[in-house]
Amino acid sequence: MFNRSDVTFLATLGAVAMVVWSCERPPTPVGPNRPMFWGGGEEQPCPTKKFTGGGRIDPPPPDYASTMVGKVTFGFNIHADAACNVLKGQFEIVHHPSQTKYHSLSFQHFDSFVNEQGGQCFHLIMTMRAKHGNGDWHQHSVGVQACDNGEPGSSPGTGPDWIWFVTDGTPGNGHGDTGPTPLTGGNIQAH
Amino acid sequence: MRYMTTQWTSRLAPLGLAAGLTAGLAAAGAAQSVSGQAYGAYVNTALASQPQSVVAVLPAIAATDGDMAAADADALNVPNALSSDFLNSFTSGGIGTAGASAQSIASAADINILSGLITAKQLIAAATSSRSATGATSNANGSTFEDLVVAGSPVTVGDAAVAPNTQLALPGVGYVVLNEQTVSGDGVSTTGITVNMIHVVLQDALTGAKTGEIVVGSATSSVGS
Repeated sequence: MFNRSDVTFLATLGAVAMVVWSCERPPTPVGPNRPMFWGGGEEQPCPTKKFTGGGRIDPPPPDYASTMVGKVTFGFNIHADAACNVLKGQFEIVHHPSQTKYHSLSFQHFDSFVNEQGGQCFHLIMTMRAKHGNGDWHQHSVGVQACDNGEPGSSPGTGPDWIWFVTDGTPGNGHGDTGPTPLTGGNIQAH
Repeated sequence: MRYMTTQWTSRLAPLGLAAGLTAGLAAAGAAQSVSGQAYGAYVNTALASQPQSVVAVLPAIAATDGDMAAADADALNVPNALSSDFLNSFTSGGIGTAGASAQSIASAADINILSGLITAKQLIAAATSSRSATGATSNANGSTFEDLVVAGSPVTVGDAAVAPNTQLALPGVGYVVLNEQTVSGDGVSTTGITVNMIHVVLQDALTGAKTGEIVVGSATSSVGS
């Protein structure tokens, strides 16, 4: 299910942690260009530029030490150009056990690729505002990797579509790493 | 680097597949549409009224485009009917050259209906519809209740699904339909589904006539031509 792009994703998430030091840090600058840490500047095509999706996952997935466990629902619409610049987008994430909600504010990176199963996938790094229960809104950097591996996109425990969320900040209370988790409901659709 | 090791064959294969699917849809003369909606609660009784609340409605989408809508609320209280916390609704959809899809999610927590007659720690309504050259399908995968209790009897312990269209009597009140699913479309070029996780129907005790209703957690999706 996972391939060499996972290594890149994890490396990127490490970079996310370096870029956004804490919830209190001012927002990451808005801009369509890839951040310097991502890929060394070589041209990276976006074979698929449009993805929509929404659904549910129930991490932890098998054989993965998740730090963000329990029901997560999400919805999104991401459109980019051939140079991987995000032209328009919106992303919503809800971590139910902690009653944490995330709304996208800006997008720092997008790229897409075809995985070893022929599925169409994307990486996304964005700044989101987050709120825990009735607390105050604050900001987090969030990384997403997702794949459209066929239709219908979900079934209990098997996907075939899957998604992976990682937020910066100390794991717990709606922060952390879901691990790459198959959809138990919903769909991820490459267009 | 990942892109340097990607084989051209693996890039061309999905392009060829997409071209084939596009040709299939074009041959069928398929103009496509998608729609979606999700909301947290709706109340219409003799003692209380609340229009569909925490509503997300998918805007109209043109060909080869996509969009989404979202709504949330920390709490919703309708005296004499229901209370709930942490309501979140979103719906997204898109039309591509090879197909279309829409998906909607509604969720709510700490649900209390009619002074404890029905309670749940949490519920999620999920509706998904998609269409490709091979057909059109909808499902409600991922729709569950957590710690649902109806008239004092536990229905789910922990997070679990309930069979679609499960109807339970509420003596002196009416009945409730759990995981109420309504499907539409021909399964070839059109498909749709509406999921109402809790649908209470109030009835007149003497005549059985419907006197009101309460819905908590509703998600709808559809794709069509």
